[in-house]
Amino acid sequence: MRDETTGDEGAGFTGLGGASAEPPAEKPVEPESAELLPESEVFIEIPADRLFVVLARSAAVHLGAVLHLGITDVTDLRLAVDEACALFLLHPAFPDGGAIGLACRFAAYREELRVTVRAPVPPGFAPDTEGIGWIMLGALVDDLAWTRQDGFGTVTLTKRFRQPRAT
Amino acid sequence: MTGRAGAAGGFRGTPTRVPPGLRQAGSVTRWAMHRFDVTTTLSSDRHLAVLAIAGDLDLGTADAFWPDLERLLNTHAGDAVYLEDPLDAVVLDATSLEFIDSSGLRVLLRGARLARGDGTDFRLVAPHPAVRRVLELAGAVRALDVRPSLPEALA
Repeated sequence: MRDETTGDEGAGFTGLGGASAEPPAEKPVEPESAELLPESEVFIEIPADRLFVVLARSAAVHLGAVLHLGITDVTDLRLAVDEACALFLLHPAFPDGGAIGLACRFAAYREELRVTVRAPVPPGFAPDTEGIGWIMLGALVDDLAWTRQDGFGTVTLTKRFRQPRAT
Repeated sequence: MTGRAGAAGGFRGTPTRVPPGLRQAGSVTRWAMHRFDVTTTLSSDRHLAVLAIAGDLDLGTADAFWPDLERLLNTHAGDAVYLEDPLDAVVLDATSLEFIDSSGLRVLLRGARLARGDGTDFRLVAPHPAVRRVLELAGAVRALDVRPSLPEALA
């Protein structure tokens, strides 16, 4: 069920690797099918508090190392996860603290790493796609998407591996 | 939490340092908080201030840093704390800064704008690749007058 307040608009939009704010484009994130199960998956939930974002960043760095990403990709991944969390935490409409958490999921596939940051959001909530954070995110990852569904907002980052990963 | 730590304040064992070539005005302010540290040194003869920042300047620390940067940049004649005249230049030494995000970058850009509006040069020393990456992605290298080393920023 989509956010009833926003209707179809709640499906979200994407930004693709450019350093400019893309206008909203309808590209809902495709649900994972059975054949798209990740090879490895890590889930971490942090309190919705700015001081805890460093934990998500640290997880990103560690996973980047485990996946044998290069130093530039690890650095970019760390920054991208930080900025994805900031899209929620710095938004004036995002509720303060309390029992809310930011759920960060890192899913490694054969050819890409997909990171989602998810949190409950109020009706009508949407990230600032003209802000510097979103623009930087678009330049840091290969695919960037925002969706809102069932009262949750999700930022999805996809970083494709430049070469087959060592196993 | 922001905490005034005084000269004894600690951050990963980083010692308070006075940049070479600067004659200290006898006023070093230093504060430390979790993951972020600031040391301010004022030159007595060149109306120059150097702020050495270390750690992470991110969405968790940027808001706490801004008041100190703003206070320094608003130093004017008659200010009992610092100098008799406005500063000629402020150098933000980010040599030991390991991470910055868009929140931190916004503070730096705001500081540069405030400084230049008052006729004060604003320079940023940013050799760390992760910091340079953010500055380049955001197209802020020129706006912040980025220098590769402190000696070059002081020249």
